[in-house]
Amino acid sequence: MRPTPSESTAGIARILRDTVLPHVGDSHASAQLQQVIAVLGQTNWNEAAFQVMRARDRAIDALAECASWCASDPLRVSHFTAVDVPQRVELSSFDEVVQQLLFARGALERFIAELASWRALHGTADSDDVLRVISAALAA
Amino acid sequence: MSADEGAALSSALEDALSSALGVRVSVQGLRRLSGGSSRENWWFELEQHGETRPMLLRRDPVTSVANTERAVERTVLDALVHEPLPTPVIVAADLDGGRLERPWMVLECNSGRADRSVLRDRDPFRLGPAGRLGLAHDLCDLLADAHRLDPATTGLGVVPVDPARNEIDRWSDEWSRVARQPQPELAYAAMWLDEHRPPPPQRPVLVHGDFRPANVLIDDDDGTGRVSVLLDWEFAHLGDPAEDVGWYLAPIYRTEHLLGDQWTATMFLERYCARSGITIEPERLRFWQVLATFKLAVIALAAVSSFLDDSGDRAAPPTDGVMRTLMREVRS
Repeated sequence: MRPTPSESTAGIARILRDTVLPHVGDSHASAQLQQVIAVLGQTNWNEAAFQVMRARDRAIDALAECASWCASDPLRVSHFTAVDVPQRVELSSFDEVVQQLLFARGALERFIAELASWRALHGTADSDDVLRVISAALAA
Repeated sequence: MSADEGAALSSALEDALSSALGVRVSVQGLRRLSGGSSRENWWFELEQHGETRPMLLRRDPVTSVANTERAVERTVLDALVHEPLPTPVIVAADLDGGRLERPWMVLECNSGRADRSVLRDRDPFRLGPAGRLGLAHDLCDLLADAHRLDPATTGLGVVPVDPARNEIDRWSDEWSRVARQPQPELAYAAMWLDEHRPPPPQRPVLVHGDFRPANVLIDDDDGTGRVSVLLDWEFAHLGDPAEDVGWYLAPIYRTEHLLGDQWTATMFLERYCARSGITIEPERLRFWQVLATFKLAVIALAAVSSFLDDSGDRAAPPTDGVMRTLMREVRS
């Protein structure tokens, strides 16, 4: 018998709520315990690793679009730091995927900061398309 | 906090208050209250000359989810004490910390209680639909009244030249302070905010900075739900009245601050504008609504940071939800 991560956390949350919480007399401790229970319920634990992988893939796809957009105009090439698009490789651990996600998000954050100064200098019209790609990736 | 630590704090508070008030006083029944993400709130009874009065100790936590200006709340509350606005009265304060190690202030404890869901259908104060609508009107009027105060009487100095720029910078700085990981959503929103910055308001006002049902005490003894006092002035500053309105009407708060068809954002705006005499253009409101969500995202980030640093005692969920909300708002 192997409970899934969601089953385990749901069981823990139930015990905290039904068995422990009624016996916590201090109002501050009780409020913090309720917050712990709420936080346990706000993550889909079974999906956590897959959500990180999907977020990494979206970030890498958006970065590839940004790199292509930059490369298509010499003026952009001189304005933007080269966009480093990580290779999507098979990763063997959750930590590795998280590291790649953070790398891609860091590159996106830098690109957006440079895009802001680009738009201030050159107007917004020519970058609206790449902006839509980025916002779609981040809003998903 | 252990019983020993509680007793030590109670004793330190007794000494600090006796020193501040110039008379020996006694502190009884000190207990931590729930709530307060940027300050610790403690209730106690102060005994002085044989009389007891309920008091509220507000003390900075070890790390705060918002790096608020400590002197601001004291300055504003001191300045507003003679204004016709229900604000807390400071009994004593030490912004250097002194005996309590961290900045603190003691306020007179007003009657009533705060509940962020006071307007929601679960109706924690049993006000009924008409009572909740009346309270919603009162909250709107309270904000309008706060904005009618003369900024010169607030003790907050001069009005900033560009309030929108100021707030973008303020919350971007806070983001830099608490960031542990890249946040492209915040970079994107900061760019959007900069590109949609409204001109300075025609009539700058005293901005509360965190005006919402969670920050008023409601006196429900007679079942009418009267506002007893407006709390939490630590984010107060001079600026654009649309900032408070945008915060109250931020889409993320819709179910908490409005009442469906009975009390919509349009109704709130109409009543607010009629009472305050201030007009708020749709583009200006939109900017401040997005800034409100940006600010909420930074505060959520600070909460997670504090949680992961082992310095906070409040569990914090991932910020994915509020970041997605922010992105939806700038895309709409």
